[in-house]
Amino acid sequence: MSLLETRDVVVDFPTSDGRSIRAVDHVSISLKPGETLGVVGESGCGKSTIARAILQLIRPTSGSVVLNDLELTDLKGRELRSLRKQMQMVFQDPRGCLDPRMTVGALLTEPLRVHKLFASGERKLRAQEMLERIGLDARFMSRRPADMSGGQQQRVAIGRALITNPELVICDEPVSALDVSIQAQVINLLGELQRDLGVALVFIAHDLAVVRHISDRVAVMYLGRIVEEGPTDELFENPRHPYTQGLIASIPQADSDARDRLQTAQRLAAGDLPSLLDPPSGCAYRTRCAYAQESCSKEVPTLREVPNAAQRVACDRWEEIQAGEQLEARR
Amino acid sequence: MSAALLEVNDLRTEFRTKDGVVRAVNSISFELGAGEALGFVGESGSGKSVTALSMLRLFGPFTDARIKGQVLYDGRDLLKLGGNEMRKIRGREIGMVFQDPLTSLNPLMPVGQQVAECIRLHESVSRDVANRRATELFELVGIPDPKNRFNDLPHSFSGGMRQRIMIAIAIACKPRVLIADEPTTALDVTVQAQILLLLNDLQREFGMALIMISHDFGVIAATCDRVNVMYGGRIVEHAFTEELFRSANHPYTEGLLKLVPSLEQRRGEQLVPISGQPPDVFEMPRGCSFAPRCPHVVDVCKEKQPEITTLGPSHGSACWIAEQRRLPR
Repeated sequence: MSLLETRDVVVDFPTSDGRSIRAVDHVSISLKPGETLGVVGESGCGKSTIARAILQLIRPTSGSVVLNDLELTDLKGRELRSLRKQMQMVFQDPRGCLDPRMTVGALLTEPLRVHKLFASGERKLRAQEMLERIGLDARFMSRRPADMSGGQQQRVAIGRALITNPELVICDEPVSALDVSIQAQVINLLGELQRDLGVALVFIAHDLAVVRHISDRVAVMYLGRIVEEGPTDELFENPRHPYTQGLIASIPQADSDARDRLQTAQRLAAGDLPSLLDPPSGCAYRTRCAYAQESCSKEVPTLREVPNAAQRVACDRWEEIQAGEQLEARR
Repeated sequence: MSAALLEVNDLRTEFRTKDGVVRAVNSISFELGAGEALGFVGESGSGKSVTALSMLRLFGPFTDARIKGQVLYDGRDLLKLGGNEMRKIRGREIGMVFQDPLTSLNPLMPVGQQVAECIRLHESVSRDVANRRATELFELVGIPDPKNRFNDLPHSFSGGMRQRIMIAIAIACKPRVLIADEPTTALDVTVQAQILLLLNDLQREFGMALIMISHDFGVIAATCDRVNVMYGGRIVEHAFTEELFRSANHPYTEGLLKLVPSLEQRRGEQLVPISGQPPDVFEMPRGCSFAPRCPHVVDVCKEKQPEITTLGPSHGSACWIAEQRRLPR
């Protein structure tokens, strides 16, 4: 049974000139308890918006979001607030979400106080436990955010999200503001906490290597839609959608083929992202796709199961493209 | 490499701030040959950007920066040049591209004019000629429909296109050196690949030397022949890029390469983080700046700063135990 299920979630935003843009376009995902789903894509693909739509921080224009058989889009006010202890969020910039005047102790006990969890005397104990879990020593209880590094602040933000013992935590670019040596520490911490506490994660990031490292399954988004989704290793080893292929080829890697791969990247993902105000008809990726044809402009491809695999891909021609590439390679 | 185009000797940059003295760059020396691509890799605060800014003396009047050492370009010491002389170097001999094109471009000036302005500043050509060359440059850097976009303002371009405009300005006078400071950090990965490819192509076409500054080893791998690894304001290791990936010597380099998750790495493998925090810029450790975080630290590391130990034709490591670490591990 799934913990979280979204069905055809759509989020439209009005623009100042009276038009509207569709930031999230019919997104359906599901998440089992304790599972980690990575969501990747470039800026404007809707990955942060879907995160907020799941938590009802932004109300979806249409579609449904079900957490533990409960339809969240119908809930409001107190009902929704009381559910927040089960679904938490970690944001990119810890400075923006930690009150600079509060001590770490106060920051960690606040969620317990708000949700009336534990007796007031016991809350400090829980905070101390959490402090240890997030790898900070007891002296940190009395420190304030300004006295901590970015990595330590992010640990506190993660501790705050986990202290109510949620079933679902959504992490939106949780390590992209951190230096690489600190990134690894925080990624390892998230992995450990997830294993120990059995919490389900939606991990949103633009960095594919980080997502590959932490996710059970990955969804690739482009211009508001999921274009491909599947188990992590399968998706990275055998990407079917031309966009996923382009995205993977674009990642600069520290090895001797790095220069040559840039050519492949440019071929598979040419040009710029189109504007959300004027998205292409049919397949949104066709303006950058190396394999685009006339027919791609007609209909929006739906996410379809790949035969004999757990992957889903939103390209009607992926089999034909793959066969063509194989033929090319044999020549 | 006797015919180095650029030779930096014992470069030191300090900032006087109200909280104390920051030694951002601490005795850096390196050479750059004509047409060569050299990378600087390191985390924030390692001094890689300050090195570039010091070479071109690009600090504003309100920054109390003291730059010492030598920056020899074609035999002339850039640190000794007067203001007018220096202005002839910047943009004409050495071009620079920054991370954020939006703050580098004038928001109220048509982009074509910004390129033409740069040409007319350095060369006595007519407005028409400068404009024509600007249009050609747009074509060269891959801006679609360059004639019609000449009069557009920066805000109407995407981030990738703006960076292409910055590159057009930087190469407008065919400089012999291009310094690119995190030129793709603000861009999406697919656009990043395009910009790196463009820089590679331009470098080859013009025989231009390139200094690429990045926190990302992948970006350096895709663009550079040689690389300097920076930590705490110093070069801790230098090598040919491929050699560095094969046989990193300095414990910091080794740590940095290990902790970056790679695409081949399968899920669940623990990353090996470097423990602790980067050094405090106000209070650099007395010995090796990496000693407090180093898993291989020995007594001498805490006392004295290590000099570079030469390990090969172009490989050196500033580590007290570089020789021992060189043995097959």
